[in-house]
Amino acid sequence: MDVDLIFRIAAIGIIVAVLNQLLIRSGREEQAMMTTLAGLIVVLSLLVGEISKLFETVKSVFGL
Amino acid sequence: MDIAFIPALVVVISFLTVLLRRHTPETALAVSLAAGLLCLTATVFWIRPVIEHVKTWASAAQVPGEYVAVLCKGAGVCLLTQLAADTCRDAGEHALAGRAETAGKAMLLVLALPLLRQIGDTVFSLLGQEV
Repeated sequence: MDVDLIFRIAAIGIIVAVLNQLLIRSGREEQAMMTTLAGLIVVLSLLVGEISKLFETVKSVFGL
Repeated sequence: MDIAFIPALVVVISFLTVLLRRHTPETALAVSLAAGLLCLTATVFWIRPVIEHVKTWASAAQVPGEYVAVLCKGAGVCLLTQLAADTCRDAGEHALAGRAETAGKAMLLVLALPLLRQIGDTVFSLLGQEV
């Protein structure tokens, strides 16, 4: 796992926040909500692999 | 990895999550979880030689290997449980955090059951009773 991943997730969050504000200001609440949801799914798909990697590491080190 | 790396990273990520929490709280949680995963993975890699040493000393002191294995498994269960519970607490789900901790405690009891049974057997044999 790299530090880049954390900053990539933060960048996704900032982009989603900006898009959300823009879409809400232009009166498209549904699309703003969809953008938030899409951002969340992308972030979670980035995280799931890392969580499973940590679990594998803990399993191998502590002999679980 | 440098010793100053993890403290520096954690401080920077804290500032970042404060910025993100105002607009997208779910992404702030994801960022802090990713940083926590990175720190924990690095820590587990660092601690690996310590565990090997403990195993060597235990075998030198003729402690049975399964006792040390139970100890190591307990430490692993504690780490994972704490990660889950802290993430839940960050998200404001105190009840779920409590459930995760209860599950971890139950798992620890199940892990330590053979040792508890041996202690019980010893106590009963000292008292002269059969289980």
